[in-house]
Amino acid sequence: MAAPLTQEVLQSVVDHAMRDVMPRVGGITLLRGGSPPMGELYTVHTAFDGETPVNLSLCANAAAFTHLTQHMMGQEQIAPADLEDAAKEFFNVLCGHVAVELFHVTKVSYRFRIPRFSGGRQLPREQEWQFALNYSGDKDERIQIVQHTGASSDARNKTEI
Amino acid sequence: MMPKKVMIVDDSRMVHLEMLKLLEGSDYEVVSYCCDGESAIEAYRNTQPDVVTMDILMPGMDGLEAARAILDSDPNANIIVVSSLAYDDTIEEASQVGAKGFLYKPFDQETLLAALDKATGTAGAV
Repeated sequence: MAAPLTQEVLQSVVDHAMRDVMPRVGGITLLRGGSPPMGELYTVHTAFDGETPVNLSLCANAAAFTHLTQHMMGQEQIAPADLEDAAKEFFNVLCGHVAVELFHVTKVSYRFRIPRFSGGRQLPREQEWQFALNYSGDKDERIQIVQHTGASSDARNKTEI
Repeated sequence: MMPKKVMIVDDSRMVHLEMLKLLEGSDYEVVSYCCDGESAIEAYRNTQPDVVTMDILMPGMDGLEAARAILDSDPNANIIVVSSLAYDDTIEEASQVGAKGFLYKPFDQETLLAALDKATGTAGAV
């Protein structure tokens, strides 16, 4: 039987997907909690099309995205363009898992738009946040994933599926 | 035996790199990489690969539309649809288009090779 999509359910789905996908794809084992990322930051975000509005933004420090990129490419030397490509692909896989798990819970199909990548902390105002999950890795990785209403500050031009 | 030719269609270079790594030393050789559907249609004509891995979600023409166009020109094309979204309706749509398989990201070497073998009809061959 289908369940309504509450923020608690969504938070649980996102957390589960992060803990599943990040080690497998990004090679980073996550611990929940810790402070939000600081310093040199990057953000990927997307919007889901479904019954309930879902907008996810993932903001992480350079260490997180660098290690993720190195793991995905299987090499230490990476270029800035590699980091963006890896971040978007990782987020694509994460959001795919979120969408599938949302379907299992709610029996509603969710599709998402092609992830957009930005330098810096490109998040909407905290008043628009519905929840934020913070994670840390064992090599100084810091990640925050936020569910919010409306578009993030850089998500004005969206690419439909 | 000549390796089978693989064409990768995905807007992510990471997927291209990953597949190159996973297919190293196998019976498959990556002969072409395209990052969008439109160039994939052209590249298929020029390369005539034995099998295509086709991402669905790409800017511009999506993978299912590109797969349809390729199959229109070559009904014997072997296309495996690749996606991070493993919905029944997505898989069903891929099948209706004529795809020979579906790969759910992330995948490992064993899963990739099994999908390629199945699509090219070499699965279970002695």
